[in-house]
Amino acid sequence: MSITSQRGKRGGTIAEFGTAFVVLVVFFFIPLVNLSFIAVRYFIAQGLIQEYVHRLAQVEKRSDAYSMLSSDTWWKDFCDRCGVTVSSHVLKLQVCGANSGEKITVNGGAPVSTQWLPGGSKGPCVYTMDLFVDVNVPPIYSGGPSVPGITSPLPLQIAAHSNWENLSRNPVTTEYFINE
Amino acid sequence: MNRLAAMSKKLTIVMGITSIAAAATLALAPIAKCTEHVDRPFEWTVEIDTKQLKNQFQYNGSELKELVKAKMSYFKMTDEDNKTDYEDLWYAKSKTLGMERHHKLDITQGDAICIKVKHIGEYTSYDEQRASGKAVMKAVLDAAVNKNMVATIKVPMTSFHTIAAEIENYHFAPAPASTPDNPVDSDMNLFLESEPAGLTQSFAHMH
Amino acid sequence: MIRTHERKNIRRNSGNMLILSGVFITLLAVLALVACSFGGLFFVFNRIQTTTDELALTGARKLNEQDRIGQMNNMIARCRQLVYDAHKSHTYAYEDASQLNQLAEQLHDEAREGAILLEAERQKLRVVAVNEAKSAITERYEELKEGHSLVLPWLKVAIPTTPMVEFGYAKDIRSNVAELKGIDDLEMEDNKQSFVLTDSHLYKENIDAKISTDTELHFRISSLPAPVQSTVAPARCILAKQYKSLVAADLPSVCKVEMKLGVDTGIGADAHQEMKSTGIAVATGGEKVL
Repeated sequence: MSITSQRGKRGGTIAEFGTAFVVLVVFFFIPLVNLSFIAVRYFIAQGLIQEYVHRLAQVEKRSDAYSMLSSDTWWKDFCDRCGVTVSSHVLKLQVCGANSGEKITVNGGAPVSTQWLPGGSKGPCVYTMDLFVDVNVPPIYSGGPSVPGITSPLPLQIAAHSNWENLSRNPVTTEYFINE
Repeated sequence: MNRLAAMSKKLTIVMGITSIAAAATLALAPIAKCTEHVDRPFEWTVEIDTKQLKNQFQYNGSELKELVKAKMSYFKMTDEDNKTDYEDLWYAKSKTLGMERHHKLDITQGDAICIKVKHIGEYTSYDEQRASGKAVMKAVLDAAVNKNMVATIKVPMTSFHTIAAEIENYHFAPAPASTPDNPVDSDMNLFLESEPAGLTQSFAHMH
Repeated sequence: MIRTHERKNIRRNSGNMLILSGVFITLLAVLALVACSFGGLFFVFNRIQTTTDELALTGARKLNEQDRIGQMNNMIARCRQLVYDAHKSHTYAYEDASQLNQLAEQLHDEAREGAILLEAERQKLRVVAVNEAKSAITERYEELKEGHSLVLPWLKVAIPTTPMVEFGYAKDIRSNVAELKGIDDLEMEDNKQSFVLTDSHLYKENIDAKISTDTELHFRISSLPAPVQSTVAPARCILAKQYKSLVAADLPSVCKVEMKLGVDTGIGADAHQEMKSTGIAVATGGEKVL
């Protein structure tokens, strides 16, 4: 009987070790590394968008925030350089009242009603600017059959929030800046 | 007949006396009511309400913390409910800091005025009393510029002496009693009296 | 019995796939962690930005504590009106009513003394407000700084540097002083000198509203958000483009804080970098005049 033909009983070593190793690396480890870059790009985009909404919340009037959002391109360009593509964005104002569960969302340039303004009956309220950005986050390598997250960009929505700063009133019009 | 005539004559005399008495009472009533104006008549009152302000200029080393506000308003003697805000003055450590005029002094030229000081608050500090005196002198000047004579100045009894001393700082001296052949030479006189009544002082302006 | 030359051909039958997989997975996990921590630098930046904003707000609130700057602005405008009126009365007395001249002159001198006192107090307030704001910022910084440092084998985030503090004012924020009417001549002079804004009827910010009759006296009115129908403007953060440095000796209403954070990656030529964050906040606005 030839010993060389006996296979290990423990099953730890296989004759096709090299092939298996290659398969393991190509189909497991490399895709994992590929995917991990999605996480890195996501974190970068999240941080950038958070910083941007923080700036939007510091403008004088709410209309200035919308103007700034439509005219600024630097943050989108930066995302592009990091590999993240911004497809669309929406800016909203969320107002949370004094009682839990009481809140409204104001879209676009719609005014905040009197009861929800500072000093209103629902107050004291917390005002938050919410920026929702739809992004496509690609892995390191894209190509071949389209599998989102593996061979093609993963569509995600990044939400960032920041407290609206200017709760004062315009001395000329006497309106709250949040409503201008 | 004679008795009847005598009785009617007596009745006529009694009726006459009664009517004279009634007429006299009616005539004297307003005088009795205005006894205080008999000596110093005035048509207008300029009221100075003083108040010690708190929480003003709160910082280390502030010289302006003890701020006093003097609010001046005026009204016609017979119309106390219809006051017109004239101006507000602010004082700190007896220095005049500021003024805000609300309305011009719309008092008919030639009319006499009474300046009346009131303190708001239970306790009146020395600084507030001095500030009242300064506000009085401002009112005196404004009245004089508007060609109004200051008939009398009424101040609370508690601050009478301080205000009197403050008036003297403006070259007004307690007027000596004028005697025949020794008139007092002065171009402006002020009469200070307390409320409630009890203290009075006349001042003459000295050059 | 196995012969020696045949032993060499015997394959080892002890398994090593598990070990290899384990090593690779560990390596992969470490790589992922390293990658994520670099990606997380943006979070570090957001944290330092939040801290800088908080420090700026702390300083800004201290500037106009108990409305001292608002009160000073209002009193300066009222002092101006007093001096003007006293001068006018003095001029009238001097020219047309000599018996009043002495009294008018004394009241005029007192008004001027009040203006000089007020200017001295304004300069004192400027120093006090700035020093107190800096102290408050330093105190708060000492409380917050430790929470930022991070030490990983491949990434070191240092404690943020001591903040650099500057004081100024905000663009488009006027003074808190409403136009004073009551003396027609002075009102006309204000309009002529453009001291008052026609839309808001507020005095302009950072002006020396000298009166033509007495140019020796200074009446500096500083920038501060005005109250609107008893609504007082709360302290808030603003964008960097709204900040302006103070040129003259005006009272500050904006606090700017800059902090740097050292980040050491230990990789490549640019192993050490500094993140800079800036926080700018406007002081609480003026209150209604008592």
